[in-house]
Amino acid sequence: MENGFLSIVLHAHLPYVRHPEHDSFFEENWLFEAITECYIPLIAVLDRLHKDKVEYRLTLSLSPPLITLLRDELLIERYLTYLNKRIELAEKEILRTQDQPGYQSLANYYLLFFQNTLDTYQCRYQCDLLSAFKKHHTAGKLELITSAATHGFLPALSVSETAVRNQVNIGIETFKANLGFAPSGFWLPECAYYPGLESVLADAGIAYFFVDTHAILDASEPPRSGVYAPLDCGNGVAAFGRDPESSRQVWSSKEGYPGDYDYREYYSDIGFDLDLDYIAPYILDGKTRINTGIKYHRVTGEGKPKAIYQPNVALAKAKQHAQDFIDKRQQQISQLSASMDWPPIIIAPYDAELFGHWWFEGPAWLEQVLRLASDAAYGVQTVSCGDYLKLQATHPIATPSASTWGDEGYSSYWINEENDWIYPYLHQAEDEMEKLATDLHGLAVSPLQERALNQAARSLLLAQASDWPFILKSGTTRDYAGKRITDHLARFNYLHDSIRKNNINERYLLALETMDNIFPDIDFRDFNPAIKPSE
Amino acid sequence: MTISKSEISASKSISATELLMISQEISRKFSPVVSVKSSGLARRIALTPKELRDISEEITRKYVPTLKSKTSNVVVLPIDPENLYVFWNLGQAETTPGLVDNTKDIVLRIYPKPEEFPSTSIAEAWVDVDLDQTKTRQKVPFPKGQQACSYTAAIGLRDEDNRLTTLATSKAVHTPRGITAMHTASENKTLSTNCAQFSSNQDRLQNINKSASGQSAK
Repeated sequence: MENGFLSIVLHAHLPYVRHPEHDSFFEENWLFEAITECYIPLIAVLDRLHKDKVEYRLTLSLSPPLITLLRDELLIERYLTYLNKRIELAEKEILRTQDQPGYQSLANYYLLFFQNTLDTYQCRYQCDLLSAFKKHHTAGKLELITSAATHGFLPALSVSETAVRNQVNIGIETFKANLGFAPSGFWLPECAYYPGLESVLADAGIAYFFVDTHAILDASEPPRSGVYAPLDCGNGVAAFGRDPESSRQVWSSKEGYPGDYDYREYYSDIGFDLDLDYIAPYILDGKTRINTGIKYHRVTGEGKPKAIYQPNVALAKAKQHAQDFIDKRQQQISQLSASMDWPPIIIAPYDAELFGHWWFEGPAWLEQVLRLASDAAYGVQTVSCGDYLKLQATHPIATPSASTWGDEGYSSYWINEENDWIYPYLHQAEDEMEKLATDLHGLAVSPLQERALNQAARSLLLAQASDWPFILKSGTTRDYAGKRITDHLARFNYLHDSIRKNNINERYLLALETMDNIFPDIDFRDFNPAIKPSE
Repeated sequence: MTISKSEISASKSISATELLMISQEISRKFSPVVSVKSSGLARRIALTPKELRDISEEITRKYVPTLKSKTSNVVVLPIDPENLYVFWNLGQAETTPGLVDNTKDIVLRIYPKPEEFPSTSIAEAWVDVDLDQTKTRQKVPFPKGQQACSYTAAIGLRDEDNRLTTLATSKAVHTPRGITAMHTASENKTLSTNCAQFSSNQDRLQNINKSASGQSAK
């Protein structure tokens, strides 16, 4: 008999980075790296578990921008070029390292890795990774959910309920159009919740969402079971809280698994380590060093010269860490079960891109965790939150506290002196879009006007992505983030002006439709605050 | 199926490098591409990348975002249990002679709405925060000692008698309760800072910054 439940949730998201106006574009590599190191290894894990008939449940949140990028024909073509260049580089590395057996062995390892990636992507799934995820959903193992349209930071957009509704509803519609069914769960971007948001989610048909630990612990009514049972927000929508212990085990540098000395060192990459002349064909414009994905060293430890990476040793360590994770969940469930009236549920949500990209051995760890949990002897049954809600129909009623899962637990990472300038512009653009939709209510618009209005809505949504204020704060690619916001707002302003003056230039409109081709079924009328999209 | 010897020897005469090049060329040119529902937008790509770039740059240059509200407004966003962010625009009040009196202070008047007494008149209690008149946004602390979970705010001109000439009012905002998180916030910070340790070389963090989630460990 199972004593408790474990729900592992991976949230996969990338900002909408697609630049047909350039022959190649550096930031598109974010997608290519994530496909190579995270999404395809994750699919390989699911395929192996399926082949071995392992009983498990895993939840994967696919954000609408990522869904769109994965189905984009231009990016599929560019990804194949990217992957073939990696294969070419690995081939060159085998020759270059012929007098260094340890390194040559790894070069061979990478060649095989990239070739297998190409085989999985091209031959096994015909360049359609969504079909791979859907296959495992259909098999009853993977619960797929989604997030807001452009991953907007909803507390900052809540000045307008229409803005929040459109982020939620357009996100769900994008998911449905690509996956063919409605999600029951919703990933709030940055786990950012504010009281009242549950109403929008309920209207959109969502059964549950996730929040950080303190959102539950600081709820309007103190929860008897802590974060180990969901809260009913009062309207039937359930809020599940992150378990701090399982989070710490993966994220903390002191206690977290990814920092283990045997694991691959993310920052030791031949894109930075080898002579510029040699590596030039594989970096940015032949000049700017970037990651290539070929990394020869392990974390090793502070103050020591980096030792060579040993995949078999790292794999054994991942299995050891998986055992440790399951043992700790087992202990946790034993303790919790003694004081709870119903089986506890442990929510372990992570960024999907941690697995494989930042933590190269993450997919192997996850696979072993799911294999171990399938053994009933551990008393740790993996479930999705949808499963759990079917098992436990009633839950304590309370309103979670406003919160995020970011640094400090609130909104300070997304609203601060580095990025506060964007919000008045976003609020103003939202207001103007709503006025356009209101003014045109009931009036006939020409096909050209309709296209311009829909494109204005796309520009607005793209400007609202939470990624831009995050990057402005983190300082990693500030110029790009700033330009993206400015570009989208300028495109919105241009379209707004053209529509108001009834002076739409079709060539310019076509250019904007070509560059920002997300949300093909968007309807500007949904921005009329007087009309709920479902009406 | 049998393969003749001559075919095998023919394949052996091609070097590994040549095989690789042929393989890559075939992959590049003949990769199967999934057929998905067309967006209807990309079907008419009649513009070259340069034309797209030129149009994009022209629009960005000519339609730089500007704030153009003619009416005063104020937006308040809660940041954490102790602070909120206020964004304001005085609109025409700023440019209309006599409307903004330099002898009066521009203040944000915050009206707590106690959780237990949601119907309490907002006129019964408030806290004023002086705003920097050279700015249009500012982080301000929540009133101390209030047992409120939501607030409204008004921006206006305060006279000597503490009376406020209201220019704009905000929507009500909920504040995070912060009972638990207040005492774990420092731990969060420490852990999330440390989280970057296994990504020790931050200046190389230019590829995926999709750790862009900002997730913190607890």
